[in-house]
Amino acid sequence: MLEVIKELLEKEYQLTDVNMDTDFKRDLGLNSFDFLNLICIFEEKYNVELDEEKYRNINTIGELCEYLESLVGTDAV
Amino acid sequence: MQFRIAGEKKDEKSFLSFRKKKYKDDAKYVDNNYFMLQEIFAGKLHFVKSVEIIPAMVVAEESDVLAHARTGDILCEAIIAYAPLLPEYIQICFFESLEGCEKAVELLMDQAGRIGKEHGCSRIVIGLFGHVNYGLGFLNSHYDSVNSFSSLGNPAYYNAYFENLGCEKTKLNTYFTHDLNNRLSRYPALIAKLRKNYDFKPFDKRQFEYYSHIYTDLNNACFTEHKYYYHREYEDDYEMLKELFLFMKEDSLFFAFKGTEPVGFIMWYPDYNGYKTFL
Repeated sequence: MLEVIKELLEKEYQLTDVNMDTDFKRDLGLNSFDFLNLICIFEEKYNVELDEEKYRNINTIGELCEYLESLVGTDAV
Repeated sequence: MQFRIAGEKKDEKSFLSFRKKKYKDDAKYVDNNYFMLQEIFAGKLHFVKSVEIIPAMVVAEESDVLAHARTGDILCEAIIAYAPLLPEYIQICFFESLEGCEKAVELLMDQAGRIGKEHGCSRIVIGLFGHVNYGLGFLNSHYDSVNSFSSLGNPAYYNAYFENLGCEKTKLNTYFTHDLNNRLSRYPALIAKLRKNYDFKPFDKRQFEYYSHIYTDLNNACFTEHKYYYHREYEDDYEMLKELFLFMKEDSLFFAFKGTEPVGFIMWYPDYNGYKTFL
């Protein structure tokens, strides 16, 4: 899932050099709209509805990985 | 100097004239509140039925030595307001003052405090315009820019007056400017989801009451935790929107519905202050 997120960040926001500890806001400068847009992309990609109560507390790529994997499994591409 | 309540028509006229004269030749400020003050004095607004309005001024006396004021001139003024639904606070609203009138402002504040105590208030709030839906706060930067429509405009010395009197500053709003053209294209997935899950409708003047009630209900639901917000009646926003829609277009107020339930709104408008002669 990390590779999926990396690919998306590069494609959507031309961001590279990220890892599990990378913070969306502090390290990448993404705002809440940017993050929500990412969430929507994943919802569309995996045909799932993400829980706002859960994703509103996500700050890092690692936390997003963990949440997405809990929904779609670790093998999703 | 003397504290005076503007109880008579001639005092109300003086109150209005003071701010008109103050900003007459000021290229950097448009007085968007003048019209509202006229309506307050005329008792036309529903809001004044629920809020006690005390127009007050501090005037120069013969003993005052002021380079820029003669005996009887207004040094500073404000509407002192008490809203029973915001019982903790006595409000100093629509404050205006000449420069270098620290003592006059102090007198105004002392008298507002006295009136507040008579009403059982424990705090004074300065810069709330009777209700947050009408306006809130003092300008805290960009003093040399022309104020945009509905936004604040005051010289820096207003803030200094109250800071020097030991008032606590509360930062409530920050304004950003955005490049709208680039912004939406950045979020195609988010926009697609919003379009799928929500309906967006502009205000419809043919159903004025219906939509203005939605506006009030949403405000009352969203701002219950706001420090200075208090419950609005339908009539308060109805008349406010009636005035705004004299020149505002319907698509300046958009509502979001999830099914049939209104869940949010956004109000926007061009900077009408750019058309100074209009006002």
